[in-house]
Amino acid sequence: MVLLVTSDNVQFQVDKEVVERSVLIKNMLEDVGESDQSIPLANVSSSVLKKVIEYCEHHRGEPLPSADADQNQDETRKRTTDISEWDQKFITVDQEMLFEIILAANYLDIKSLLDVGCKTVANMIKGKTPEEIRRLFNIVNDFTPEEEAQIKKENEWAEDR
Amino acid sequence: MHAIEANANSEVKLCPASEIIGTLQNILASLQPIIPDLETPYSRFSGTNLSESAIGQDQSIHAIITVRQQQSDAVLHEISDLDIIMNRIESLRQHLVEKQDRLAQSMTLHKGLASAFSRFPPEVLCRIFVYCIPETDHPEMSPEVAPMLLARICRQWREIAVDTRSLWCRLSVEHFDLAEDWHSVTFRYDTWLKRSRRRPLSLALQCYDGVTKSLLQPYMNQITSIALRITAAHQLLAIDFPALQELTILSHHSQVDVRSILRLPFIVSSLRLKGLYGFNIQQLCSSDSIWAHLTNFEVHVNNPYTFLCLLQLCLNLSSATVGLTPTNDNVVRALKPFTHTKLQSLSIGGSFNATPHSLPYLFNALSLSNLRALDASHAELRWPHTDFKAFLARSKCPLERLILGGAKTGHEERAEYMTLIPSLEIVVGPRPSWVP
Repeated sequence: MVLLVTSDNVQFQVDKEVVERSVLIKNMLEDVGESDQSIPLANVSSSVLKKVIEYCEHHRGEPLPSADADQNQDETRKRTTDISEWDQKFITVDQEMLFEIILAANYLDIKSLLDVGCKTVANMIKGKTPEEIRRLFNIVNDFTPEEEAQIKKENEWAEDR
Repeated sequence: MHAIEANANSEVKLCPASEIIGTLQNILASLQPIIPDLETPYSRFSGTNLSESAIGQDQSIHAIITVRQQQSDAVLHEISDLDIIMNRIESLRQHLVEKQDRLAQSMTLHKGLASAFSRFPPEVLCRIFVYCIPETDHPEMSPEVAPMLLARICRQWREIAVDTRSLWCRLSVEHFDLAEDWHSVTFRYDTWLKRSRRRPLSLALQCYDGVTKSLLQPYMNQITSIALRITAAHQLLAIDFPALQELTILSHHSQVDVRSILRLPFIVSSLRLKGLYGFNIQQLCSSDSIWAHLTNFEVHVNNPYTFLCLLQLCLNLSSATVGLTPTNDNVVRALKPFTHTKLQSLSIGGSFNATPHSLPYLFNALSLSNLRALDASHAELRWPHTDFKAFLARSKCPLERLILGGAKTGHEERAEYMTLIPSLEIVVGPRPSWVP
């Protein structure tokens, strides 16, 4: 078992096989070797880590994607945003929790969870107008008039078609 | 912290507009419309056309006109004064609208800062953007969808979208109307293609004429994959694309021009012929130029004999998709047993109920010693259990996945395959969309 301590000081005892789905923790454990020391996760709160552990428990034993799988992926290939049924149910959380899970998956280096989160956000973006996207993510339109003109120029013809 | 709060409040405290609005409301509430009394001794003639002689030359009429002119001038003056005030009010309104916009923007900014989304590092946004690209092989150029959509949100998104080369590597190039502004068309395509910055490009071409050729000229060495209609194929195959590795030819029930395929450069490793039928076997066997270099092949053929001929030519094939089209050609030709040692993935489709001998024939003649995945999910068929079992035993292949889809098999039959290959994964029923 491995002891994890979250940013709000909550301790989690997690099976090694489960926790090693995080490449960050796996590498830490390999570096430190057998030890009773807890692993502090300063960037992850207890509510988020609980969800992350739930995901890792469910996917326990599945092969991990290779480290350079992303780099090897042919960029001319399309990527699907399909999400398996369980993952879809798992990631149906409020928007802030979704973002926190993505940040935690990125920090802990859990590629498959990061992908589930990113696909979910991508599916939220698809089919929306720029204004709707800005509202959804609280983004300020900070383009200068010159940049707006350039964007208009790039899009004019495509808009006409 | 207190200073920040004071700062946040300062803007809303100074609001002279509310005083102006209050005063105006009071004035307008007390306003009574004043309708002037315009009655004269002549008002009763209103709406008639009495002649001058009937009314006479009364001087008082001229006096009334003079008074009305003076009154009218006074009202016009008032209207003009009111217009000035209304312009000022409109300007005040505009000012308030702008202020509201800025407040909304400030609120958005602070909501954004409070959200975990604002902490996404560029690499996470980049990953999200990659998944935003339409799941078609070749997306059309549209500002409504990624990647162009992503470059219209804010400066950070635009910067990341423009810098992520993989977003700009696939595109459907439209058929151009020569009446369009050519410089403008070139600018847009150039803007897109330049952003791929020398990455391999995969394009769908609706046609391949001089106009398209000149547009793509700067990118010829970058284009590794092309999907195009058969009508344009013969021009393309004259070979303008030295880096071409994948070619997909789309058509509807056209005959395959084998000679044009034979002229493809040896670097082409993937050839997909969609909707094309009718290979001339004699032409096919006359040369082995391109076939030996293919590693991926998709084809529709009229009978399994042709497919076996192709397999014998494509000795380096690792992945093949074949559609067996029902025809009247029910003659089973003699073919020596053949073993392909490199094919790892085979996908078979077609209506085998119409040609029930096709699949048994294929399984009896063919051995695939390196087969790892067999997908029959797109086939409508009565599964030839005995022939398939013999094929497995003979091939001694490391089959990992068998996707049967709608093929009718019993539990006992599937158990027999598992006995031959204990680690085999068998997928029955519709193929799950997430299975790669």
